[in-house]
Amino acid sequence: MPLTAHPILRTAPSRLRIDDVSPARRPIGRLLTYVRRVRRSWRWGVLVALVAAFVALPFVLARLPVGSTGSDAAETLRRVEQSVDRPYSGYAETTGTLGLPVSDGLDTLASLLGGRTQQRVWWRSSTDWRADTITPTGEEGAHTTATARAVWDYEDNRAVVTEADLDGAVRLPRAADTLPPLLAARLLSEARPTQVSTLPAARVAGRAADGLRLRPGDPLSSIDRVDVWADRESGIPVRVDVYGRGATKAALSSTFLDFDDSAPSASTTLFTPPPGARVRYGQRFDLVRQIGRFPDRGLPSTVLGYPRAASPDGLEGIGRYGRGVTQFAVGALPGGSAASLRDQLLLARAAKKLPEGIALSVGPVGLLLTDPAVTGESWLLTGTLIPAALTRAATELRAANGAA
Amino acid sequence: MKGVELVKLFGRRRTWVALLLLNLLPTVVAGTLAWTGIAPQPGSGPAFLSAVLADGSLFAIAALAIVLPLFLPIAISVVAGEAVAGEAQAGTLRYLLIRPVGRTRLLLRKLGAVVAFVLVAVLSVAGVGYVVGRLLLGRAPASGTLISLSGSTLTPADIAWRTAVAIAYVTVSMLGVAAMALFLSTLTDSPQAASLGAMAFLIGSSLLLTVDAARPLQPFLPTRYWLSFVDLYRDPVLWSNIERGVALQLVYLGVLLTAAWANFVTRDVTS
Repeated sequence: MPLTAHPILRTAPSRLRIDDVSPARRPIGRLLTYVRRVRRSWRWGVLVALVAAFVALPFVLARLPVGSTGSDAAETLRRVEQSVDRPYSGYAETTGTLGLPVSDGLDTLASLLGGRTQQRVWWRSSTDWRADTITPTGEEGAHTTATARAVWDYEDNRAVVTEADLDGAVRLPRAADTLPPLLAARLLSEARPTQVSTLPAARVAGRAADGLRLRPGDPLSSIDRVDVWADRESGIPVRVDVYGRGATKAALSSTFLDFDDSAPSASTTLFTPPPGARVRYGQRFDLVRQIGRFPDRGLPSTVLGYPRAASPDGLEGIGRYGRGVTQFAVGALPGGSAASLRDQLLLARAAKKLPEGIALSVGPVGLLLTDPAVTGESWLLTGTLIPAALTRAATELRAANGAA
Repeated sequence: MKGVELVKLFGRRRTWVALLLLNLLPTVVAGTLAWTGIAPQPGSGPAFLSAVLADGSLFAIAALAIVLPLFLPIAISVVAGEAVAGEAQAGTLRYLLIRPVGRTRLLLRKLGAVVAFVLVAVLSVAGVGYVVGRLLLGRAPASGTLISLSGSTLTPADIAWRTAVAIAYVTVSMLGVAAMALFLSTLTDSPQAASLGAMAFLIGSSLLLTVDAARPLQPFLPTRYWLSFVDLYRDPVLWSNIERGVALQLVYLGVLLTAAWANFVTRDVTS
């Protein structure tokens, strides 16, 4: 008689236990215990298989072969350049690892470059788009048109409407600047086909994306490389990783979690301040604009061989220099701001006191606040320069202004 | 038998005490808000609490946000932890199994009762919150509209379906807690140990969400998407995190209920 045909085993074995069996049937009970162990291992086996399947699923999906189109990095670069004004929408996450030791007027920047920012974007064109920075209980939505920029802050119940930015205007970085398409457009703006190499294709936001790596090859640049993946269908950059010199971890990484290359509807980007909200017209406080309003204190036309970029918004107090990924800004800080920043920098563990002033490097972002006793002014130099280049730039500023 | 379990659950005085206490905190909050007229600054405190003085009907969702991080999981883990371990502690589990009912079926009935409690708990918090909000706090504007997090105006129909989905989402999130407590309830004869174990799991998850070094783990933590019901009040709705939250809870439900089943149908019942 087969084992499972025994009367005891056929009577609802899951409810029968060895204790329930009479002494006369103990041998059968022992047999039952053995069968139960087999059943136990079977059930736990199902559980282990289930857990293994769930744990493995994300890794398997991430490693699904993407396939290659055979296009090289130069072709990918060309497609990225052509995609500049193509419509798209998506949900992106930016992760910065740069702990900037600054607060006064710069805390938004510090949190942008040193934390995690989640944004939604709807891009119809460069003069009609919207980017919302998401927080757990609110959001800040920036709606941009050809003539105006309206920023809605739910948590402040306030909308601030300003004129649209001019191209090349000097301002602090905003969250939207770190969206993959905008970040890639800035970093690849002067890339040449000879500077890029091909990266393996990857799957970003569930879509196939072709990769390229830009190595600027500029000895003064603190950027070692920029990795960009562009959506295969549209050529729109969907992931950007920026690495500083000698770093194995990206200083700034921005990637789409969801992405759609179809045009969003006009109603999505349209903004009308809601009833009851406070509406203000004009600029919010912007430290850069405050500094830029001071007259030019003798900024040279070139620094480190880089020509000064034009200032379209009339902010003469700040000079912007650089090329490609190597960009830096120079401005003379007023006494109070300089003293405050100097105090904050002195508290930073990585700050170095040099003859020219106090220098700090946070990932690829370098910063030097010069000593007015040496350079004549409290010059603030900041950008993607190596520390030696910052001190050379300070020396050039001192020479240009004839300081002792 | 399903009815028996439900009658047993809702016939207990402690079940009603748990529901009462669960609704007490939001009611106290609404009372203090109505008395002082001081709402938290926008961006601070539980979601939507800053807006309830203008529109009291929003307190339904604010009440859920108040109890979601701690009180709701505690109530659910206490009830779910009691499901099997409570019978074992009282010495009635053995007798239950002598009745002509399989262990799998018994576990499903216990699960059904726990799910019913989760539903009642979530609906009672939302319902009591709505009533208390309407009675004590600000009256809704004549248009019955609401400003979304994105600054657009939501119609009453928008608000209704979004709130219904939010309640469903919170319910699904709480089912994960119930599954964890039920699984632990099959491991031990102590309901307190099962409840505390489930709470420890959730507190650990919430703690790991605040640690940057645990970032790779965070998308898989059970509490990661709990508050994503707020995304329903953005315009357009941000479905991504809600979808991820539901998928994650379904995975936890599948794994924990399978573990509960695998353990319960094979364990030696001695009490």
